[in-house]
Amino acid sequence: MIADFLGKLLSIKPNERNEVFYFFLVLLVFSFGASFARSIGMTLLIEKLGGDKLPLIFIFIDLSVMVGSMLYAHYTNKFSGLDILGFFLLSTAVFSVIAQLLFLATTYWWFDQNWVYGFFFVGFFFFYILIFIHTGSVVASYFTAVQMKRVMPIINAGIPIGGVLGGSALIVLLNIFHVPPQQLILILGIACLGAFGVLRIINARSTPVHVTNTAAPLRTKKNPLSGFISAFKDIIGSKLMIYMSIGLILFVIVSKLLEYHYQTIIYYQVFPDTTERATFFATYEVFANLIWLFIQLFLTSRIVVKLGVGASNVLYPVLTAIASLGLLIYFFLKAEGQIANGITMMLFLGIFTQFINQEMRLALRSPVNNLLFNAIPPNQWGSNKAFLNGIVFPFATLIAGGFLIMITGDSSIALLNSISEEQLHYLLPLIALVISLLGIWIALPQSREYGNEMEAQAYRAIFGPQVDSKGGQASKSFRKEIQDKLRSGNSAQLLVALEMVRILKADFFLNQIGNLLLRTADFKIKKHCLNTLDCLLHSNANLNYLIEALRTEQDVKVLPLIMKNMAKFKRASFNSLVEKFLKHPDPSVFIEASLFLYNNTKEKKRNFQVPGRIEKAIEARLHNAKLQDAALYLNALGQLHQIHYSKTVSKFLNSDDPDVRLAAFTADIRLHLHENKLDSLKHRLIKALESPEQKMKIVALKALKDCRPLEDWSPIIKLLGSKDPLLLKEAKELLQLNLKVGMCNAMLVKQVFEDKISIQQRFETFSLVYRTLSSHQHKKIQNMAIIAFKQFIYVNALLKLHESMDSNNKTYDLITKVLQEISDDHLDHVLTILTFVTRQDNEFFQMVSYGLKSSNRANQGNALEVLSNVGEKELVNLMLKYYEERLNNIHAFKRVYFSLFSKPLKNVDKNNYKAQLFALNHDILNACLLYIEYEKTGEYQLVDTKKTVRDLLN
Amino acid sequence: MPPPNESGGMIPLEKIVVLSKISLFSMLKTEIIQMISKIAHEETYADGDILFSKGDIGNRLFLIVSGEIKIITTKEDGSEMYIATWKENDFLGELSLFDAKTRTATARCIGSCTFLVIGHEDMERLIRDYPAISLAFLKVLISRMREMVLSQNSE
Repeated sequence: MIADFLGKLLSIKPNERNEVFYFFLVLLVFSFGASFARSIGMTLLIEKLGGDKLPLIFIFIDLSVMVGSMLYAHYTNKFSGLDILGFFLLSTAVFSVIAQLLFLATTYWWFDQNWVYGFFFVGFFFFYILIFIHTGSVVASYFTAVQMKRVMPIINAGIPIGGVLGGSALIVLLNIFHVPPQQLILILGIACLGAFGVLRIINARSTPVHVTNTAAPLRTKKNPLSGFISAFKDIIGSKLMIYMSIGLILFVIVSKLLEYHYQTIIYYQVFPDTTERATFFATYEVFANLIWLFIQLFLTSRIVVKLGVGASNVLYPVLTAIASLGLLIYFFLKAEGQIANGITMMLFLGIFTQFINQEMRLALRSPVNNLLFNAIPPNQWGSNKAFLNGIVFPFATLIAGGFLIMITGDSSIALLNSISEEQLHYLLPLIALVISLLGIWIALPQSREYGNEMEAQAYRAIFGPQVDSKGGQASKSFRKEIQDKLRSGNSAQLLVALEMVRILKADFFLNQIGNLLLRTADFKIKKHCLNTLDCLLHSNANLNYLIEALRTEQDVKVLPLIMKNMAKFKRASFNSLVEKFLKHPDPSVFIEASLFLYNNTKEKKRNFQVPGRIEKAIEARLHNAKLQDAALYLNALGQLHQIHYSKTVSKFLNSDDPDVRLAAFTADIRLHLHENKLDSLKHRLIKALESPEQKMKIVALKALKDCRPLEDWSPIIKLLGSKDPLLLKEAKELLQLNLKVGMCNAMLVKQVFEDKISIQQRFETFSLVYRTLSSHQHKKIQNMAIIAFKQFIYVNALLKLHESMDSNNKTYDLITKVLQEISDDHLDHVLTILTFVTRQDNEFFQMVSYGLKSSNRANQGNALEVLSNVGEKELVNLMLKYYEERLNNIHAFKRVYFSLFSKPLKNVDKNNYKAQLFALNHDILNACLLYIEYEKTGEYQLVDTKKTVRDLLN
Repeated sequence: MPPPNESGGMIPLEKIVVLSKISLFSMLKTEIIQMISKIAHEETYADGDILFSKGDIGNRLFLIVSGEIKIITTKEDGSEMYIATWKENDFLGELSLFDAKTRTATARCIGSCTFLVIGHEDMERLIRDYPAISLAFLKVLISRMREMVLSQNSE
């Protein structure tokens, strides 16, 4: 119940819930521990080592991350993404135990060993950064790109929520239980072990959609260095990557300068006591994470939608510029003696700057900056990200850290030595401000370049990668190409141009397309114009073309399309224009006008008489409609979402016309779905699965996805044998959906062990449940394969026996054909199991099955070659031995069977021919045998014969 | 064209036997052939009966169970021109299942002939459930097209 409510609220589909919840939990648990480590680590570092060591610590962190990134990129080809994440978490847990022991040792024995605090800080951030870099890729491997957009904000919300909980727990432990901060590092380890436990659950219950591919391009290289060289070449070739690299350098420098400022200047002055400072950091964690959560869930995506990816990237440097300016003004005025030493003001500036630097970076900069990768070919993502994180980022830290050491430590440069501490307090923000302004300056051309690259990418997608790959040039030649096509009078060219504009969402062609819509007489072009306009910006100009078209258009096929487009603008101001079409004789025009007015007046809650009037009009037209038009009116009634029309539409469920039946059925489902009452139709939906009409079955399956789980899944499982690909897809999706919530698993597993199911049904069932089978069930399946292989040899022996029998009867060839099919089925049964046991795919199955059944020796040889390279040696060796033999007669079969299984092949001889064929229990085969008997004796011996067999003989 | 003589003599198994021998269906599984047998109706014609004439709208596939069919066309001067003779296990009218257009020649029975006849709509419905049938059609159509090209080249 709660899961349903949350799923609907957060737009998470039932089949995604498990993965979303567990990944959310991983981040929440890890973030809980990390918030302890961050607050305590920073407090102790400044306390024990002093703020002047902070730049050096930055450099150490990023150098270690650089080495870590290179190793990480190198090793991702050897282990799964989940395994690597598990390794990172376990390593962090071990590291936290070591750090805890060292902290205790420095507290009680090695009092002057302060390097321990630096070691912990560097080590923690090393794992922290690598875990966050890697988690995104692991999560991405469990969802499709479309799902990612929906689920990622929810999963990421685990970080701030974990931070809030961690911060709150830390405050309680420090201030109520008075636990010294040095003794709380172990909590990081416990949290990492908890997150690791959740990862094991994910591994057991879920399967990745695709293999993690973080460093894919690097995998093909001989060593990590060549990967980076290749990435560097990509960067040189891409203006966008150059801007992104420069932007990253500027961002890192500003970030380090600001962090140094608030950590070592502001907080150190405001909270000189260690416990007080740790408590402050913990309190900060709680509130900052709550605000971050709000921004992450409700603001970031809205900002991106409103401003676009390019412009959104300008926002972050603007924020750092504002923070820097605030610090500059305050500390400059303070140094000049124009304001007093105000702790509150300083604290406010510190918190504001830290929030921009830390939380806004994760809530805004990282997600928005990541979207820039959309304009980079996916095969370069891994290497480019590794280059940015592994080379550019540490390089920028080195510059910032070196600069800070130079400016804050003893320098040989006289000018730097002459800077007083007070001057340093406003010089740092001044430099940060200048660099932030440079960041804004770089973000502007970066935004332009992003647009160009996106356009060029679409261009490449349409014309192929070989055509003019340079973004700007591509864009110009592309526009010219579309212009030429739009100006040509040729309808094929016009359609191509319209399709190109639609895919590219190229708004600058809006006027040309609008005019084309008004000018052309060709229905196909009008239809494409409307489709294209629908994808372009819903501006006033766009709407004006539609209004004009609605005024002038005469074609009854075009009028509804125009109104459909107009409905998306949701403006009631031209209701009167549409109202005249309520009297139009054409049903499509009338319905579109009705739905337009109905939705417009109902949503805007104005003119309450209109919806009622329209409902009555549709109902009246339905009652007087010709059979071929009834389907249209029924569809319209379904879209009114008024459950009381269920009775009206149900009357048409038994119509003679299949289209009308389907429309009534669909409308009824819509009406019930809107009222959340679809479960009351469940019986009818299941009955529809037996309908001779495929469309009816598909609609029923789709509706069943929105119902509560069924008690009996057999009608759906039966459809796994359907030859209709759409029907099969829907049935599989429904079962998959329910498998994820633990339903229908038992019935599917039972199905796997059934003898009498088709090869396709078995294959599809395996694809759904194979991973969930126990080791005992796996063993049973392997035995099934051996039994099926024995059956295969036995039926082939019968076939050989049949070939030696009298061929002078009508059914001889049919018996040969049936025996061949039974033999093929047994072979496919064996190969199906082999495919899943050895983790092969459908392609493997098809290739080997086709090859082994082929009479061409070369094809058979190729299939055997493929077979010999998979695992499951026991079964494969049996098969290879069988196919090596020349099986010319029954004796050869008997010999081979004995050599393979050490058991004799019984009863395959002429005396037992009929009995053995009857024993195969195949209707057509049995009918053939009875028919042969009839030809000899003139009468059928039908005692104890199945009805299905008798039907073949009557 | 005389009305068909409905004998209804073949049992379902016999229809399956006949269908499995016809090249159009021989590669299909017996399960599908059994489905086709349910929509195939037996029709018998006498010697000289015209199965269809040039210009008729064709929407049925004829599978020859027994007898011979002569395919002829009429020249501009009204005289007949022989094109081909189809025998047992041959089939005619397969194109009509895909586009119900006019017949391009006339088919006349030589001796008593028995057919299994499949209607356009029945077949279309079955193809929707068993797409493998359309693949079988495609293979036969392509092999016929190849034969035509080869014969044209040899001429």
